[in-house]
Order: sequence, then structure tokens, then C-alpha cells
Amino acid sequence: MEPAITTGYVFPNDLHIMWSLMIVIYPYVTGLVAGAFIVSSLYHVFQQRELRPVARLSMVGSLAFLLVATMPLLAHLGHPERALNIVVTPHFTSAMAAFGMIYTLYLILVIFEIWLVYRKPIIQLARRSRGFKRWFFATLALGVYDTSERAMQVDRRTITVLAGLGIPAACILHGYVGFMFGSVKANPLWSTPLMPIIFLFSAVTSGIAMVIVLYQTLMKFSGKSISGACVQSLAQWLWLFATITATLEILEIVTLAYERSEEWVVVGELITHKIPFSFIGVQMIFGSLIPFLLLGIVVLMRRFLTDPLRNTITFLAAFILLIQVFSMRWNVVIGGQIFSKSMVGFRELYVPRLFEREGIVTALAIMILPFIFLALFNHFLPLYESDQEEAPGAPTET
Amino acid sequence: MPRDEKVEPVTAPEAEDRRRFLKQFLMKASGVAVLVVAGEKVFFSAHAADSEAVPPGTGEDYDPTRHRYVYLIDVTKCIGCGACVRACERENNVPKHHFRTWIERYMVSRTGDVAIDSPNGGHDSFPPEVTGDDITKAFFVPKICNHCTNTPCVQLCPVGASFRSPDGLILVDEKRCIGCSYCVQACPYGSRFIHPETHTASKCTLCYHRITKGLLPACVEACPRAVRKFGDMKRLKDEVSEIIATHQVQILKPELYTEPNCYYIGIGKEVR
Amino acid sequence: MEHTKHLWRALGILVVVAVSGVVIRHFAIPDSFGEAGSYRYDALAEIASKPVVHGNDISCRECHADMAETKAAGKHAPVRCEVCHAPVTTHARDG
Repeated sequence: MEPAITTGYVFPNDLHIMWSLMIVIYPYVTGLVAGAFIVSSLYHVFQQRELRPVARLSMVGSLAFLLVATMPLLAHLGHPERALNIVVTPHFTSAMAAFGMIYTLYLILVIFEIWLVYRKPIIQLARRSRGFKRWFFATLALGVYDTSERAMQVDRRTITVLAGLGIPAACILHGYVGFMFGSVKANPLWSTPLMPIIFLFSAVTSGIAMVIVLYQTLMKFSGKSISGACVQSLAQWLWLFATITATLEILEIVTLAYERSEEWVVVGELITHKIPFSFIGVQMIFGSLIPFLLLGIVVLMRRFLTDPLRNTITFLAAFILLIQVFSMRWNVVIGGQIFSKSMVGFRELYVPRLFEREGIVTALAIMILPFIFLALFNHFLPLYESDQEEAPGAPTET
Repeated sequence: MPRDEKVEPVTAPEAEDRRRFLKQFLMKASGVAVLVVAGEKVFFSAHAADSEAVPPGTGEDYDPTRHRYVYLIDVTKCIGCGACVRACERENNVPKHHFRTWIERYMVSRTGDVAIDSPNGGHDSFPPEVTGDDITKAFFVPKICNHCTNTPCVQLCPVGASFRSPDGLILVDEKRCIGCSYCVQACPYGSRFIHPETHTASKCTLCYHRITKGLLPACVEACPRAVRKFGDMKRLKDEVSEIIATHQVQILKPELYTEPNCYYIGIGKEVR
Repeated sequence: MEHTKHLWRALGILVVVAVSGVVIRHFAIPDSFGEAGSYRYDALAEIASKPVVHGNDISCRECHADMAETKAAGKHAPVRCEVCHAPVTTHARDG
């Protein structure tokens, strides 16, 4: 590698960005996982009944992103073939070592919950089909065709318990990602106890936003009507979480600036001169302020809005917030590496290339895979419930 | 700080492990010893200072629990020749544009402006300064891994590939390292890098392959001004331990509480 | 409990997966791991067995005693031979 263009004094080993685009999309993907799961829990645990149309979609969406969550890491590792060392000999003083365990537990939990929600449709499919398809769905049903009212009731209760357990699991899964950055004391931009909390709230923001976008797109493609009450409720939750996220993000910077410690010399320069476009422009003004206003209209002026207008505004705000959360990940991960640990110099600005191992094409492929999974899933087991169908995943009354 | 605390008692490997370790060295290191002791001719002996007594080191009798290494850099003596950087590169096969050790040049003007540079890590020494300011003081600061006692890099390694050896060094197990570069992020001193060929973390080992055979680290050996000193806290009458015990010494970034085992003499507030 | 057969089967699969995971992990742990801490103790000997490249002036004096005396009397006395000349191993190998 050739020496890079730097300004100020950069430690000789600090010339290049070590954590690239892959490490930007990794927290982005896990954030979507955690956020989408929280949406499904709002229905299953917190009994937000108007969210019923997106209960299944958000849960399966969470799984879809969970399945690709390890891919950016594998694409990044110097030795992906040794990735399992992390579970064989985990070094527990490292936040990263917990990844294997947290990921596995969460994966089991989500798969188990989805399986229970879809058990009845799976059994119906197994009964209806022939050949390989029948064998496949019979295996999925584990050979038990019990759809009696008593069995369904057991399922509903188990789902509620799992969804309840899933909330702390989702929070740990993503809080841990924030902790991975927040615990690096060598880096003044990352090293703050606020970091896991910021990550968690922006994760929920991105999850709700993704569910809004997915839901409206799915309904358009299937020719169904979009539930206005559902979108309204999602918009309200989104407004709340987006506002808290933006507040926390600003608080972190304001605290650093006000303390005027050594770190601010380098972080201030970083924000105002190195990444003003992606931080002030995209993350703060375009990504936080505009959706705040748009969702404010939806929440505060709901009486004056027609369904299509509300849906469109919410869709737009959700889409912008998805970009905002991505830019936040970018600014934290990449921004935190632009300055050298000498604290008096900056590295070259990082622009990912189109075709490289950790490049844009890889990132796009990883981001598209969950949608392909969702489409496949939807082909066999619908991601939405028809209104007549009795919901196996409905909250129990007790 | 009381010095006794620094010298830890014999740590984990008990007698059995020690014997095992010695056996390991017999098997793995003696092959190398044969290689470097070409024919009957002995090429290596210990450091010039105590050369008469010490037989050529083969590493066979090395016991890591009986050592506790420290390093001392006297900044006031450094002339920035870069001999240490070049010696390190040759000794450890360090890839281009990466550094296990490097030298920084600090130039301070009367107004307090500080200009720092380290062209190619000081490998090719330094060109004449070109800041144009009225420089009132200037000095060179050699850097290596600080081999911290409370090190963030080992703490953050997810697989136990980075570890602190019983003799107090921070080393990397190239066969376990997954190349996540978390340790590179964690090191506040910029001492680590990802090796472009092995794709694993790489760093200063204080020339572990030399010191276990009674030789000095290559950078210490190469220094014409005795800027760099290598010591062992568990050795009686150790020069470096004595200086650290009786003189004012400094460490880098003390506010991060990494407890470096690389000490400095003569660094000022400008040093990063 | 009636009507919970499917749950027990799922739990059974989980237990099988977990147990085989633990067993596989047991065999995947490298020798000497954890003997002196959370690392592979053999790595120490491996790192120690890397080839030595530089010697020191005593190594050079073994053959070039005359040059060593000249150097000791001159202004390059504090500079090690190998700093300007090749490291002793490459020199000896080349003959």
C-alpha cells in the first residue's frame, strides 16, 4: 500500500481506515434486526392492536436481516475461515467475544417465535401439497399436526413469553454493538457511555422506518389496502424514537464541545471540516430535522390528513430516517477513524470503491439479500394476515 | 508508585508447565540456534556490557516466569538517525510503510506552535526542517509498543490471539488472530497494524526471538547513542530498573491508565 | 400436558444442537490454550523461535578483529557494524 494523503501529524501506522464500509453496514443491519423486532413486540407484548397488520412482517423482517448480519463481518475479517475462533475460544473481556453467544441465542429465539406464529399455515401447507413440498413443510411442522384450540392457546402464550424475552435480547444485541465502539478509550469520538444508548435508539428508529417502508411496498405489490390506523401508530412511535435519537446524538457532541477538553480539538475539526456534509448535512439537517417536521404533521394534524396523504408523508419520513441512521453509522465508524490517535492529524478521507472485497457492490449484495429472503418467504407463507383469518400470534387476553 | 507492585509474583505456569515450556523451546528453538551458530563459529553472544560471562544463547534454558521486561528511552540523546527503524525492519521483516518502531520529530517555535513529522517513520532519517518558524527547541522521540500492563488491545481481542506473556510482553498469536483489527483501533499509541501479507495483527515483540536467547532487541543493539535501553525487573542490579527506581521518568498518555512498561526520560508536554 | 408435543420436539432439537455444539467446541480448542491465561501458550515458543537476523559487534569481532580495532579508535566507535554493513546472518550466509 502506498502512503496516503494526510494532514497534521498522523502516527505512521495510522495511515489507512481499518474499519470500512462493511463495519458501517454491520451495525446498520443489526439495528434493523433489533428495531423490527421491537415493532413486533409492541404488538405481541404491549398489545398495540393497530399494529397487527405489521406484526408478522416485522418479525420475519427481523429474521431476514439477522441472517445476513454476519456477512459484513466475514467480508471484513482478515481471516474469515477463523471466524469460529470467536465461539471456540471466546475471550470474555472483549465485547466482540460475546457476539457468537448473543447472536445464536437471539437467532434461536426469533426462529422459534416465527415458527410458532406460522405453525398453523405450515401445517395447512403440508396437508395441501404433495411430494417434496409436502415433505419439506411436514418437517418444518416437526411432524406434529396438532391445530386444536388448546394447542393454539399454548402457542399464543409461548409467543407472548418469547416476544417478552426478545425485547431484552434485541436490546442486548444492539446495545452490545454500541458498547463495542463506546468502550474504545483510545477514541474520543466513540468512547462515551452514551454510545450504546444512541445505537439502541437509532436502531429502533431504523427498525420502525424499515417496517413502514416494507409494509407500504408489500401492500402496494399485493394490491391490498394499507391500514391507516397502523401507519398512524407507526408514525407516532417513529416520531418519538427519532426525536430521542437526534437529541442523544446532539447531546454527545454538545457535551464534548462544552467540556473543551483535548478531544474537542480533534473532534470539532472533524465535524466542521472533515465530515460536515455527512454529519451536519445528512445526519442532522436532512436526516433528523426534516423527518421531525414531516412526522410532526402526521402526529399533530392527523384530523386534517387523508389516508393516502398520511401514508405518503410517513413513507417519505421513514425513508429519510433510514438514510439518517445509515449516515449516523457512517459518521461514527468512519468519522471515528478519520483522525489519528496522535490527536493532531487526519488521515485520508475514505471513499469505498465499487469493486473491492469491502466495496459498494458487496455492501449492496448484502443489503439486497434480506429482501430476496422476504419475497421467498412471502411466496409460501404470507407476511400479512387476511382479515378473516384468526391470528395465531394475537396477544392473549390474560 | 511503589515499584514492588510492578514486579508481579510468578504468574500462572507452575513447575509442570515450566518444564513443558522448556521442552517446547528445546524442540522449536534449538533448530534455529543451529542455524544461527554457523558451523563451529559462534556468531552471537550477549550484550557487549556483560559479554565475557554469557555463553551463546540458544533459548533452551529460557523460563518466561523469571523475567519481567522493561524498556527505557532517553529522548535527550536521540539524534534521529533511524538506525533502529532500519534494524527493526530487517530483524522482523516489517512490511513497507508499517512500523514496529518509529521516530517522531518535534519542532516547537517560540510562539508555542508544534510541528511534528515522521517521514517514513524515520526509517531514512530526517530531512532538514522546513517549517519556516523560529524553532526554539526540537527533539526526536522514538516509539515502540508500550507493552502496557493494563492494555486495552489484549482486553479487546475477542479470541485470545493478543495476550500478555508471563514475562510482561504483549504478543500476537498469528495462528489464532482472525484479523478483525479491533486491537488496532484500541491501541492509543498506534503501535499495531494489520500485516498486509498475513492479514493478522502485527506489532513490536521486543524481539522476543532475541531476548529469549540472551540477545538485545535489534533496535537497542543498533542505537549508536544508547537512547534505547532494555531491562529486566526481575534481574538483580538491572541498569534500567535502577534508573526507573531512582530517576524522574515519564510515560505516554498517562491519563488513559494503560500502565506502559516503556518509560521515557525527557519528554515534554508536546509529545503525543 | 396435552397438546404440547410440538414444543417438546422443538426443545429436543435445540438440546441436540446445543450438546453437539459443546462437543464440537471441546475438540476445536487448540492444545495449550488457557494454560497460562486466555491464549495459546505454545505461541510463546513459536514467536521465540523466529530466526535471528542481527548479531552484535562481538559477532563481527570473531572474524574481523582488526577492523573492530580500527573502528574502536575512529569516530564511528559507537556505531554498530551491522548498521552500515549487512546483518551478520545474511553476511555469513553469503559467505
